[in-house]
This record gives sequence, C-alpha cells and structure tokens, in this order.
Amino acid sequence: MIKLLFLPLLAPLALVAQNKDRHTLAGTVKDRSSGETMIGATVVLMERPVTGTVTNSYGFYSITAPSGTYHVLISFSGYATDTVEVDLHKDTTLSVSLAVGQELKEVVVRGGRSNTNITQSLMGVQKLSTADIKNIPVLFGEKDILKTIQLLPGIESAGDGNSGFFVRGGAADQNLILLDEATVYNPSHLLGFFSTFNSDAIKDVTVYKGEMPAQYGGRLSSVLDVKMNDGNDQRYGVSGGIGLIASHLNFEGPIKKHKGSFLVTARRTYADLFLKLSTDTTLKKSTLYFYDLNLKADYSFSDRDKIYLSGYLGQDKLGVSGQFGIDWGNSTATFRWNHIFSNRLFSNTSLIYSNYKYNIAINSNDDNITIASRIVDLHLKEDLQYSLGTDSKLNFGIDVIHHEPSPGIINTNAASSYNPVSLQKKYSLESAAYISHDWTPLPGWKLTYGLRGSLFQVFGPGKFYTYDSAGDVIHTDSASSGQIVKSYFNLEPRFSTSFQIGDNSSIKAAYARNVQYLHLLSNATSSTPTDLWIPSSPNVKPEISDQVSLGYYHNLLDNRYEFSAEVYYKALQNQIDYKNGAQLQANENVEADLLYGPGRAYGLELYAKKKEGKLTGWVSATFSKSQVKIPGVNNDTWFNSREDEPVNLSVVGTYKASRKWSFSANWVYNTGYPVTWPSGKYEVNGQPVYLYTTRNGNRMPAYHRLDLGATVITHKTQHSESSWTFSIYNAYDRWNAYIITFKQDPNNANQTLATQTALFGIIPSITYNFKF
Amino acid sequence: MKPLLAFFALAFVLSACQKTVHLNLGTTSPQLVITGAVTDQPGPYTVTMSTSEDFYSNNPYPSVSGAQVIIADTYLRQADTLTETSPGTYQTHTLTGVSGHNYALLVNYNGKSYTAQSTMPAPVELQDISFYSQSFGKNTDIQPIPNFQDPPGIGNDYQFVLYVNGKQLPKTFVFSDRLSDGRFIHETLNTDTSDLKPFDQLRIDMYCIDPNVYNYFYEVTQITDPGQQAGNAAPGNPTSNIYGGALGIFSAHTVSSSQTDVPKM
Repeated sequence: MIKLLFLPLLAPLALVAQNKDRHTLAGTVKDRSSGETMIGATVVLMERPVTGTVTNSYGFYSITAPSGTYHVLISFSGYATDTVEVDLHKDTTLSVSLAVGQELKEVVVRGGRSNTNITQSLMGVQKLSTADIKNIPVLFGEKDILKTIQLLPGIESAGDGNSGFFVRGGAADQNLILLDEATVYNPSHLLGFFSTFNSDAIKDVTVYKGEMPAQYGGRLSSVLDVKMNDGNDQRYGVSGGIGLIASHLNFEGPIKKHKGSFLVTARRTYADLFLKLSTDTTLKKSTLYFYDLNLKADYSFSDRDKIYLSGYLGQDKLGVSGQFGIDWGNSTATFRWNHIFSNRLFSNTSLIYSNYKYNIAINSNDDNITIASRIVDLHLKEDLQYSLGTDSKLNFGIDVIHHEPSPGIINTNAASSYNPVSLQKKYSLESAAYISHDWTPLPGWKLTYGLRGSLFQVFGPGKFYTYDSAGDVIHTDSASSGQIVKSYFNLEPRFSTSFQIGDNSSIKAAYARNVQYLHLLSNATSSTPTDLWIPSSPNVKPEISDQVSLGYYHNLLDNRYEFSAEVYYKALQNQIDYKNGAQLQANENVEADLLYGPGRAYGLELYAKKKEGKLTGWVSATFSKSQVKIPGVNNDTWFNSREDEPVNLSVVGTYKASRKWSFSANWVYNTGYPVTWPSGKYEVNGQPVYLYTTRNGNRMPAYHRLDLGATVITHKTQHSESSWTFSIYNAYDRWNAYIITFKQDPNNANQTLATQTALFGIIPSITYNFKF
Repeated sequence: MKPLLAFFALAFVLSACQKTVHLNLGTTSPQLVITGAVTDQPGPYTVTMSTSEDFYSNNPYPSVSGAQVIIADTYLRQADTLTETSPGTYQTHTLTGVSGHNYALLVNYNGKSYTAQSTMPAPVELQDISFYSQSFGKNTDIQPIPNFQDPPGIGNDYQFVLYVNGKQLPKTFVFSDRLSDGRFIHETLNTDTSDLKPFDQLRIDMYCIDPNVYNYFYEVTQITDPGQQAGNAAPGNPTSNIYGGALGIFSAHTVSSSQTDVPKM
C-alpha cells in the first residue's frame, strides 16, 4: 500500500530527464513603492498561456520552459500589470516591481484579472488581503481578520462579537493559527472580543478549510496562515489610528535602502480609562486592557539570501485591584532564512519560538494565591520548492516541534485555604516529513498530491496513569527523563485536482487526512484564557479526520464575478467530550474525566463575489451538519455538536461613492447553536434541580445582525492620508442571546425561570486614521 | 478560588443585558425522586419521595405515598422500617447515626426496588462564621465564610446549608479538600446580593459528606448556580448514588452548626 502511494511521487522525477533544452526563469515580485514582496502574484508566459505560476509566500516564482523568446506578464489584484520581454536561452533571473493601479479607473488588461480560483487545484481555500477587510464594519470599529473570515462560507462565529471560529463543524482548537509560521495558541484578547491580530501589521491571510497542502499539519479543521507585513525598504513612514477603545501606531522604514527594512506596530486598548471615570468603587479599581506589539525586520545579503526576523508580543490584563487579577498573552519569534540554491530550488529555513502563558493572582480573606501556566514550543522547519518545469513543481520538507506545556503551578501563602501544587510538565516531540507535487498533466487539468508522515512522541519524566471506567487510577508508570512513553505514527495523504471546462469554469475534487496531537479542553460556553491544552498520551489518542470534497467554480464577465459551490463530508475519530462534573482545573487526573467518540460533518457552501466596480462584496451561504457519538451520552446515538449551525448566511457590500466617501454594510444570519436545556425539575433539599433529557437537544434563538460603516478621506497626497471611519455594530439593535440560564423565581418558590443574557445592543464607534 | 467565576462575572457586569424569556422546553414524564439522610444528630431521620415535573409547572412537587422504605446500619446489622408521617415523608424509629458506619437505603415502590449506600465520615467542627463584603454600585454583597480546620488526608468533603432568620436558603454549597488538605479553611460561600442583609440571623450547618455525595452536590451546583451554568456547556443530570433508576441522593453525614448575626459592613 505504502509503495503504491510513493509511486506517483516518483513520477515527476522522470520528467527532469527530459528537461535538457529547457531553462528556468525565476525572481521576486515586489511592490514598487514599499519594496514589500508580493504573495500570490501571477506570472504567465504569454506564448504559453496555460502555464502560469504564482509567487510563493516570499514573493519568489520559478518557471521552466523550452528555449525561446517570451513575453512575461506579471499581475496582482489592485496593481498595474507589467509585461517584460525575456530571451530564455539560459537560466535567467527576472525580478519585477509593480506599481499600485489607479483607483476607481477601470484598468482593463485582457487576461490581467486573476482567475486562479478556477485554475488552481487546491479547493476550500479563502484568501483575504488587508484591502479586503479595510472597509468592513466591526465591533468597536476595530478591524479584525478573525471576524472578517467568519463572513466566508464554511466558517462560523463562536459567539457574539467573538473572534473564535469553527470551520466546517470543527471545534475552535482544530484550527491551526499561524503568525509568520509560529503557532498562536490563544488568538483572542479580552474574552474573545478582539483577535490578537492587529490588522495594521497583517499583509495576507489564507484559510485552508481542511484540504491543506502537505506542508501544514497538526490540526483537523483548518489552517489560518497569517503573514505579517514587511517594512518599507525605501522610505520611512508613520501611520496609525485613534479609536474609541483602542489606538494603534505603525512605524516602518529602510534599514538599508532596497536591502532591508523594519516595521514596528503597536496597539493598546484603554477601556479601563472609562472605568476610572465610574463612580462605582469596584469598577474604579478595575483593570481591563490589552496591548500588542508586532516587530519585523528583513535584510537581503545577496540576490540569493534573505533573512527575516519577526516577533509578536501580546498581553491582556484584567482584574480588580487588590482582589483578583489575570494576565495572559502569546509571544512568538520567527527567524527565517530564504536561500535560492538555483533558479529551480528555493529553500526556507525557519526557527520558531512560541509561548502562551497565563497568570492568576487572588487576594481575598487572607488568601494570597498565584497560578501560573504556560505552553512553550520550539520549532524547526525546512521547506524546499523545486521547479521541475512550467507545469510541475515539488514541495518537500521536514518539521520538528518540541512541546512543553506546564499546566499549572499554584503558590499559596501559609494562611491560605489552599496548598501549593505543581502539576506535572508534559514533554513531547511532534515531527513530520512531507512531499507534495503540483502538476499539470494536460492543459486544463491540474493536480496536487502529496503525503505527510507525522510522528508524535510522548517523553518522560513524569507519571503516567491508567484509569478504570469509573476514572480511578488502577496503575501508575513512572518514566525517566527522555524516556519515550508512547509513540504515534500517522500517514496523512493529501490530494486535490481541478478540471477546467472552457475558459470560465472548473470542477475540483479533493481528499485529505489530518491528524491532531494537541487538544484544548474546555467545557465552558465560550473560550477562556485558562482553557487547558493537553498533548496526546497513552490515554488520549490523536484525533483523526478524513475529508472529501467536490466543487464547481464559475467566473462571469471576464472574471469580474466569481461563483463557487463546494460540498464536503468529513469523518472524525477520537473526538473528546467530558464526563458529568469533569474537573478541568488543577487536576492531575484530568484524563480520567474525558470521553471519546467519532464525529461526522457535511455541508454545502455557496459563494458569489463581485470583485470590481463601485460596488464590491460577496454573498455566502452555508448549509451544514456536525454531529458526534459519545459513549454514555444520549443512549450512544449521534447527536448535534456545539458547532452544528445548519444555516449560515452573510452578505457583505462596499460602495465607493466618490474619491472621498465609501460606504459598507454586512448582514449575518445563523441558526442558533445546540444547547442542553432542562425539560423538567425536581426538588432536592429544598432546592429545585433541573432535569435534563437530551444532550444538545435544544437550540439557541437564531442570530442575526446588520453592521454599517462609512469612511471619508479628508486629506490625501502621494505619501500622506487621513480619514475618519464611522461604524455601527448591530444597527437594528437586536439583543442576540449570548447565554440562557435558569433559576428559581425569587418571588415564587414553585416557579422556575429562564433568563436570557445578551452582550451587545447597537454600538456606534468612530476611528481617526492617519498616514505620513 | 474560582477565578473563572469572577471572570464571567466581570464580563457580564461590563455590558450584559438580561431579560426573562419563555422557552419551548417540552414536557417530561414524571420521574421518581428520593432524598434521604442519616446524621450523627439524634433522629428521627427522614426520607422524602416525590416526582419531577415540567420546568414551567407552577405546582408544588407531587409527593409519592405508599412506598416501603427501610434504612439499615450495615455495621450493626440493624434495620429500621420507616413510617410515612405525611404524604411523601417517611421517618425512622430506632436508628441512631454513628460516624464511620455504613447505611443502606432500600425503597420498594410500584413493584420496583431502589437501593443506595452511604458511609458517614468522621466529624469536623465548624469553628465560627466570618463575613466578606464587596460593593458593586449601590449594592453591597455580603458573603459568609465558614472557618474550620481540615484534618490531614485528602478525601474530606463538606456541604453547607444556610438558614437565614430560620429559613433555609435554597442553594447548594460544597467544598472538597482536593487542593486544601490539612489547611485551615476560610472559603467564601457565593451567596447572592439579596440573600444576606445586615442584622439577619445566619446559621450554617456544615456536613461532612462521603465522596459520592460530594460529587452529586458538586454537579448540582454546576447546573443550578447561574454563574456556573454560564461556564458549563454540557449540563447533565447529577450522578446519583441511588441504584434502580431514581433521581436524588442518600447521604449519611455529620452536622456541625454555628450561628451569628450578619454585621453591618
């Protein structure tokens, strides 16, 4: 079986032999004014129009073609298309800088408009640039990529105003969230109302909804690959924004002109300044803010070597002075080295550090308690791209991550009600090797297929417990430092293909297996900073998903309109649920409180987008189902999971009324998520206790909301600009249910009541943005 | 030590809006509920039988009469058949609760049998009650703190029943020494703003309960306390120690009481 899988992987190598009279054209595509490398720019040889390529994450492209003279067409959405004549009689380097296209003017370059959504073999991919999210109105006027992607098909919001999201019925922890390749374990600030991604610092966002290329792994549902901006390598610039709740500032410039640049982006919220104005003594003493800092520097030593250093530091603080405080945050650092071995072979080596931590301090009635928890990753990654020809490219590499979660160290004072405790640290190594081949066997038929082999090793030192069905420890193994306690090896095949029908349509099919070795434990209704990440272990098996999907893509009016329809079916293994009364906090035996079962999810995703003109935007509709089967729950039958929202609609529109004014609106609707409500009640010791019959047998009320926005540019020159953005979140003031709780009627002991809590009514906001 | 609770509380204070809603919760067939206790205080001890009703029912819980109810001290091998003194209330005659003894409950009703067992733990004395106050706007929250010494060895579990001016507060409070073994415990009980006012007379009965009873009441707090409901995505019926398919709990526990007046804070 394994031999058969490798056979197609070797086929392209045979093609190399035929490449004698072929030469390679390679180079980098950049923005002319800032020197920023451009991801996903299209490079096509006009004389061989079927064989184009796109630049990789570092702006690099490589095309191999027979000897000859070619016209090379380089294009990128929003930029003026460039054409260069090249004599390809030897391997040639061609680096191009594109200038920003004239706004509002319809630049019509035949073939310049991208139709990669049709031609590329990958499916279930959504790409957003900063320009896409700029005009979409959001909560508190704070632009947010994690909220904008929730408007795309197949991606659901985890709650009102929440940056958490579910992809194709998968839980929030099944999304791999990468910032310049570093894993971000908690992508939210302030209880999830803001994401950790400051949109000023973001260049490009790609979401893979399950069928990710083989270089990604470790999560079941999706990969959210966020790339930070590079600095401007030609001139210094300052930009920023002042909003009601947060302000941000961005400073960038050359380290050495055309050689290197730096970028510093900072953001700070000041909700707590308003608390200080409160007359309430407790609120006055409260702290509530976050800040984040993005840093990036790059430097080219030669045409062949470039290094990047990027860093992120985010911190939330929340608390009441002298009583309670919690702070949490991610920090990541990525060092990357791009090396071009030859025009055909591109290499990137990454060394990545990622740290997520939280600290809690409690001071009340003689208790002084601190709780510290963190998860530290060290990650080495080598990715290679080898161009075999115009229509054939090989990606391969290795990936090694050392995980070291420290679930909790609790310190207490002598007078405290609690003992100090140190929960065991957990050590594991997650390694992978992958190979993937992009191939165009025939004009109009593209193929990406690959294989990822992943190995997860659980190491000592530590105690490893075996539990009986009641959750009591029946056996304890002690492992010494470095001893391998358990290994899991999985082969993850990935396959996707597209068949083009005429110029404007294509059909695609894909299959992918994904394996997840880290799991987030949370039985709360929304994510909290104290949710616990646990590695797979002898008790906790890796989660596995197999997803198949099929899609139809159609573009209209010279690619001005895009339409797509995708269906998917996903089978899941070893999904995690919790026993009644599961104790997830400070519990060495937390694994005894877990239950495991299979899951399944399927759905239809429709998407229509208008890409050009005064009015742009999209309509997205998702019809889906997501279920699990957990032993002992609902008589061992399939039931709807928390992520099951059968209907999900969004409409997003931006209207550019003039050079100064633009308006935007978005409307969302989704079925309420499944919840477990009591159907009856009974009395125990004078108190009503609720009687439950079916897990997730009820649904929250449907959610819908309209947001409006307007932007006016008050000043604009070549390098400077200032504008005001007005937005109204929840314009028709619908108090969407956030949670529903149950209690005894304080006025009638025989009566019980249901209480609905809503978080946000209508919220207007205003932001001032500047750039010079 | 409930950081999560404080966390949710703060979130709600910030911007929440609450209203009572009427949900379509359907109907359920009535299920049998048995609650019973044996304590180290003089008897008689009581077993109560009733049935569940629909969530929106406005009636008193229907009592269940005509059952045969027996409590046995399995250590002394003595059984006491209870007498129904009022509808649904059954009382012992001769039984005396002793710490360390195991008690078995047998109920025969409508051709079905229900059994439960509970062992009465060693007693721990409730030393006294102090108070903690916190103000939010015009409201001042006064919360009681039971003070007591936890004996060495993990596995001591406690339940607190509060009486305000002689009337039982319909709330469940439990504490486990899982993270507090051997400590002097002074843990705040999370009462609501309206529960305690200055000059109220407060009595706390502290029970030492067995681990199964603790788990039962811990799960009860997870589904009944509105703050904990907010943090519990998958509520379920608490794990009962009664076999045979009835809801409820049978607990053999010790009782230590303390009484004081709520101060003005």
